[in-house]
Amino acid sequence: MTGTDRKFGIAELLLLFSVLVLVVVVAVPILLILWNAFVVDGGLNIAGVIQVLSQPDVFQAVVNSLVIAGAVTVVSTILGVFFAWLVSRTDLPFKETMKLLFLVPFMLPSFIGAIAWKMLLSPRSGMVNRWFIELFGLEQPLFNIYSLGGIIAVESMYLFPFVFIQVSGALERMDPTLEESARISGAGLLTITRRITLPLMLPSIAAGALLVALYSLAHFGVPAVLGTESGIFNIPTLIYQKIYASGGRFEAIRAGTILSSILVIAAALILYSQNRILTAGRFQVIAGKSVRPMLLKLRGLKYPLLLLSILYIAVTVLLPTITIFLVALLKTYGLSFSLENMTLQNFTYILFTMKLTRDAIWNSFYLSLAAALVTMLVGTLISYVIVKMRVRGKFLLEFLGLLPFSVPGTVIALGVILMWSGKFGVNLYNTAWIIFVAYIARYMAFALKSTSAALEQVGDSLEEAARACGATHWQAMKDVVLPLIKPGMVAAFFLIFLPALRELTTSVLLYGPTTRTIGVAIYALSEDGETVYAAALSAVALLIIVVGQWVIKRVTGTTKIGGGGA
Amino acid sequence: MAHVILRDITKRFGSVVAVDKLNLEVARGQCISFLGPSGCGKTTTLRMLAGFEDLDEGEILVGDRVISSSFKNYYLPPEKRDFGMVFQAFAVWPHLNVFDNVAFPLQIRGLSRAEIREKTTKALTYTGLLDARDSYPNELSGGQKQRIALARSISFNPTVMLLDEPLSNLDPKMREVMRFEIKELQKRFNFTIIYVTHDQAEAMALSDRIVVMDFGALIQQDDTPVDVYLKPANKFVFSFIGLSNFLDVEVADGKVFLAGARAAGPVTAVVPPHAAGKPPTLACRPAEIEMVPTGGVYGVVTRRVLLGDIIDYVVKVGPTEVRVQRNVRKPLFGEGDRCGLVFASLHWYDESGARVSA
Amino acid sequence: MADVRLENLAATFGTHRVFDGFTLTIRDGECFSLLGPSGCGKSVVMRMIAGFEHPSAGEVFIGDQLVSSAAKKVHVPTESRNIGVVFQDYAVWPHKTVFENVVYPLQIQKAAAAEAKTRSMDAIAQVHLTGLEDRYPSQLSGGQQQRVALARALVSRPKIMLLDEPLTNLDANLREEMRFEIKDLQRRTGVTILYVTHDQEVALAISDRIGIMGKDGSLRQIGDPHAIYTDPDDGFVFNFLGVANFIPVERKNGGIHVEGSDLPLEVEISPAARERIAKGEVVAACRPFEIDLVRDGGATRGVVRRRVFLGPIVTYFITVGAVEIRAQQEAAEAFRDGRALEEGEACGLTFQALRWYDKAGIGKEAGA
Repeated sequence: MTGTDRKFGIAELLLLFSVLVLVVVVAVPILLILWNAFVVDGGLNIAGVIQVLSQPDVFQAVVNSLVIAGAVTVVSTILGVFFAWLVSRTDLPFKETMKLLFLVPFMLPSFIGAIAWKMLLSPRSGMVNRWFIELFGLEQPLFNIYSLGGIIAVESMYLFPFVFIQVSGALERMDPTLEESARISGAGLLTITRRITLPLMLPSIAAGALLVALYSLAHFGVPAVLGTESGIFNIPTLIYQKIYASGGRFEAIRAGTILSSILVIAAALILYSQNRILTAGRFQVIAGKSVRPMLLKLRGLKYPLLLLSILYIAVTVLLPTITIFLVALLKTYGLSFSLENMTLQNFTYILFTMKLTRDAIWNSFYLSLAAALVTMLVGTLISYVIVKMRVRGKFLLEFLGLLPFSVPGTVIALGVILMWSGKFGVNLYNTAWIIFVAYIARYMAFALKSTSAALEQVGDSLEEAARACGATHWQAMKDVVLPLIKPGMVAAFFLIFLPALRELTTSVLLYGPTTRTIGVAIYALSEDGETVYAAALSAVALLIIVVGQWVIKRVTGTTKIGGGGA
Repeated sequence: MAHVILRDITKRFGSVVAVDKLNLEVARGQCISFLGPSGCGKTTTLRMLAGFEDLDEGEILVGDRVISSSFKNYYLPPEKRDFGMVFQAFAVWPHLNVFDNVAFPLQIRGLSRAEIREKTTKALTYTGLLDARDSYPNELSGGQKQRIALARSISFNPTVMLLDEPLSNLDPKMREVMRFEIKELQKRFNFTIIYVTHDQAEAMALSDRIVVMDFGALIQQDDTPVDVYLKPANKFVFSFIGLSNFLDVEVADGKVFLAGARAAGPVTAVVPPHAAGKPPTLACRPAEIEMVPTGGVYGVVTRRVLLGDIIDYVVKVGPTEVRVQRNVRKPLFGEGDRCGLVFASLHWYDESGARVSA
Repeated sequence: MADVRLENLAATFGTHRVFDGFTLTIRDGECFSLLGPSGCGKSVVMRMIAGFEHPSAGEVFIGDQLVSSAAKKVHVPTESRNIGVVFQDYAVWPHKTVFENVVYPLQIQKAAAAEAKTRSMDAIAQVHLTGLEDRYPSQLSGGQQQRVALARALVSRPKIMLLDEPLTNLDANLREEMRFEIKDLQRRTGVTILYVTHDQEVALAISDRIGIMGKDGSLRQIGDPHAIYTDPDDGFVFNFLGVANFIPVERKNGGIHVEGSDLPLEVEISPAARERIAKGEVVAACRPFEIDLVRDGGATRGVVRRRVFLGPIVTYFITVGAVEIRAQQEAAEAFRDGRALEEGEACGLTFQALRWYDKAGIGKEAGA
């Protein structure tokens, strides 16, 4: 049979290794969860599942998750479409700056935002509430952030960029003749928007909205900070509560795995829908040549809308960030913001003295670094097998590679607990290793996506040309393929390093006394009432992120925004 | 009476004058092409006609209706102009099926459902798309998509059709087919067609009149295809339409010789008028030079290439290289062979590029 | 410099048989084009010679060396075959400068740095890119990138050069220019060239010999371009190389008529051809320029249905009986001498050359 040059055996070995890695790191944890949820004593136990789901707290958590995710999706979509349209299709001034500013929420961990909003809008001590009460002599606080509404509002603020990016990108790349031909056919701008532009944007809107839904369902941070106070739980926070409250009892684990299974199924459904929508070939609307889209002249509305946009950014981005920094400078929480009440002591304390925070910073750095490095290298290898090698059984890798994509951090954490807590003879629980393994599982998908995209850009003929010049297979890889995918690999590294550095959802279920991460430390400090220290560490985290983004931009020449979520 | 009138149309982009005082009239039912190099202003002119760009100065009239006028400060937006337009990338809406695409302009105009159905069906029939009316554009070929665009623009019976390089994205065979279909539609409906292209073969095949443009949309020649080809008004038009030889000559003894090749024999005894010592440039088409074994202007074949039905020769006459194309069934000359050139048709252009009559 | 011998090559991918029994010898120093429609397998042939694909049967010889044999389990890897390859997408490495691209083969061979530099600069000069050695491919045009690929393929002085549709992505003017460059290079270096393409114009222009492959992977005809163009063996080759008229004929009233026409066809037809016409096995074939159009008389008569003026020629679509025949005139002459015909006019057709081809060998596109 006609085939390709092969160093017999090496290709098969690589395939085996890749499959093994993906199975052990990704597939088994997820399978263990599903097994634990649905199988008891070797038999399928659906009745037990239903019984657990009917427990009032479990049931309520599921309902809350759906309600929050639904509401956040709706709000984010409205915000995202509105601002995308404003920035891409009108003559709003300072558009480029606005575009950048709207993307800032993407960079910031939403749970830090939640902590800031807690400081501003908590019913008793929230600064804004107190200010309104003093100003207008109110009896009741105006806002209560410890509510479903509060959770929905804060999540929306940080997730709408998903929709914004998709829609503004699509609007800008859309072939203008599609709208011009509608115009010459007799349609005015309103009709065109309604009958042509919006329907063509639907896939992008849907793609963004589904991503928002997925993130919201899987999100721990905001509901943890704002919901537990008033007993509002969603699935990830309830799982956390049960696991920690129970100390590892079987029923609690089972409730956890059943809830996780719901997340897995929801994630799978969402990804499936997204896949279907994006591959619907009908909606190929990208123009080949450079485009000049039709711009709407805002006339009288121009400056009011500009003001609105600036206000929105000020309230949702600047306000919480400034709050964090200001509180971080206070000697004690509750003091007014005057210079005599400010100090840099909090920063020096958390950075140099406090063991909790020093350990957390150190842990986060080396864990994220190691995970990013390993994931990137292994991911590159697996991508190479998928994209470049002609070997039978490749489809298995492709299938496995799709699995971890956006499986919620909580699920991965739980799965990793099940797998590595002595079940197979290896007990990593409470060590840094278990977090390391969880990170690899969590972020493998990003590495695969980034490196396989880079590999696909390297046409086969480039390698073949090297072979024709006398290079062996390995020389061709070294001289041609590797240099060309380096940017993709570097991008993959940063795509993992920064999100891992600041994440909370996964490590909150896995940390032990000495293995706290930055996210866990901030959360712990906040829950313990050490508000100024929580603020100081949050400020440090924000600074690290901003510096990190700047470094990425310099190194890769692009702004690779490591997608939100924590 | 002229149907479409452009009067002193001017358009500037910053300091660049894209269209410079263009004047043109098109009669009802005529098909005229704007032919010129990329960036010459032909597409800008079409877009001003459509209304996607507004003119800086001048007026556009259709019949006696003013469409756009800088003098009267009047501008009719594209949606009110009632023109049909076909774009290069088809611009067919992917989320609507063929029927809905074609019916769109009729729906906008608020016609009754019965009328919409009737007119749409008619348009689909004329473009051969009736069987495909429930299909979606992504299921169809490039040629089919262009037909959808055509059907959509004729469904409301416009009097003026604007076509912006509509065939560039089709393969050569499809281009030929669609050329005929457009021509047929024009005969049937008698609309005035304004067609923009950079492909001279296409312009020649389709148009009643070709308007050859240089940068600034400056008209170099406005004539029937045959006249543009046989009597190019200047050097620019000559070289734009088809292959060319531009040869330097010298005049002696009342005869014209190729420069530096007096010994090769005279090209012609008909000397074009010129200032002393500055003879005009001889322009001739490779296909209009005959090669003979003896006689004619003496030269040597330096290159021969088979191009299919044509053999392409380069013949060196003294220091000059002359390109000749002959049909493959005529006798062959080998590289290195001597031959005589007989120049069947001669065009003369002076140093400013203007045509000189001999 | 070497010749290439392909003996009974077969290519099968899974259950899909691309070709088998493919036998061809490319002579030392010749420029040979392998021409065929997409999917016929011509690229596979080239890739087998290069070593990118293993033949499922048959043998490949480069010079005296057996480089591929399924039966004998021989496969000399690509890097050891001493060939030059130019790809359709140029395959110029974007992370290396022009010089670094061209010198690479010599670096692999571990040539001395000074010698490598001289030879590379020579190769760069040969493709007229001197002065651009330090540019990166992204700063070059398509034509320039293609020349880098050529220089790189030549610098190691390969025995043979394989070019896979190298000019397809270039515009018409550039294609013409590059045609001549390739031909010139070949003349100067004497390297054996296999040029694979679906574009007959380039193949006809530069080759010493061409081979036409059918859609089923068979070699239909091999020979001198001019001879094949004017006298192809079968209808498929005839149709592939240029615009063709296939004219079905019938026997009527004791004579041969164009199908549907009342007039007999006044041409010389050999008895052998007559027999085959009687059996209904053949169609007549000719090119548009092999028909003379006259107002009166002619071997048969028809009506001008459509006239298209394209510049140097005027094309006519003439209805003769039930058949539409395409003919042409040289425009300048025709208009000046008043020989140009109008749409709807009746006219006579005289055939300079009429060939008879098997209906079966032509293929659906001919519509025979």
